[in-house]
Amino acid sequence: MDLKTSMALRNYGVNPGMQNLSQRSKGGGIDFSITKEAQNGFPFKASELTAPPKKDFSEVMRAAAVSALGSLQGAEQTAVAGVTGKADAQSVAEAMADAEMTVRAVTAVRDKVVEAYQEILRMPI
Amino acid sequence: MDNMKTTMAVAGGAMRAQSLRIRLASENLANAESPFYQRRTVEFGVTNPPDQRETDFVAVKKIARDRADFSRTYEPTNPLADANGYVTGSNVNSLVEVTDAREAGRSYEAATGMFEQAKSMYSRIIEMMRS
Repeated sequence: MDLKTSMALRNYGVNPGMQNLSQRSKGGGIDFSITKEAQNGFPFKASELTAPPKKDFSEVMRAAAVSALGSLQGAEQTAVAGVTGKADAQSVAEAMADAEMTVRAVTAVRDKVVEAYQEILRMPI
Repeated sequence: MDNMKTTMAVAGGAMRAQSLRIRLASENLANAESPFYQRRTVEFGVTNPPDQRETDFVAVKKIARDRADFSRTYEPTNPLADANGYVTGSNVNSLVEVTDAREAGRSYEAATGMFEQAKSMYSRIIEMMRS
C-alpha cells in the first residue's frame, strides 16, 4: 500500500506550468520545467502527506482530516462574517472555494487510500 | 501557498478593488448635483503581502479628490446663485462616471472569469486524483 500511495501522491505533485498562471502578466515565456515548488504543489499540507514512510495510515488520514477541518472552519467563519456584513462577498467566495477544493481533494485521496487498503484485505492468503 | 489558491486570492483582490471603484463612481454620480462637490478618484497599484512576497496583488493606493473646476451655470433666480447670478455645482461629469462604472464592471467580470478558470483547473486535478 505504501508504494501505491506514494506513487499516486507523487503523480499529483507534478503540475508543470501551473505555478506561472498567477505570474503570467509579468511577461516572458511559460516555464514548463518541473520545479521543486511544483513537486511540492500538493493542494494541502504536503509535508504531512508525502511524509516519510514511517508515518502510518491512520496518521496520514488524521493529518488530512485536520487540514480539511481547518479549511472548513475558516470558510464557516468567513461566511458568518459575510452575512453579518463584516466581510465582503469576495472573501466569502474565496473561502468557500478554498474549503470546497480542500474537502474534495481530501475525500479523493481518502477514497484512493481506502481502496488500496481494501485491495490488500482482498488478497488471497 | 498553492498557486491555484493564490490565483483565486489575486482574483478576489481584483474584484475587491473594482467594487471600490464602482462604489466611488456611484458616489460621484449621486453627488453630481451637490454644490461644491469634488469627485473622488481612485488609484490602484501593486502590492506584495508580507506572507506572499513574490505575488503581485492589486491594491487601492490612494483615494483622492479631483481638483478640477466646478461647473458654473447662470441662474439668477436660483436661491443658491452668487452676486453675479451664477450657481456653482460639482465637478462631476456623468458620462465619465458611467463609463468608469462600465469599465469597473468589465474588469470585475474578467476577475470572476479568472477565478472560475482557476477553480475549474483545480477541480480537474482533483478529478484526476479520484480516477
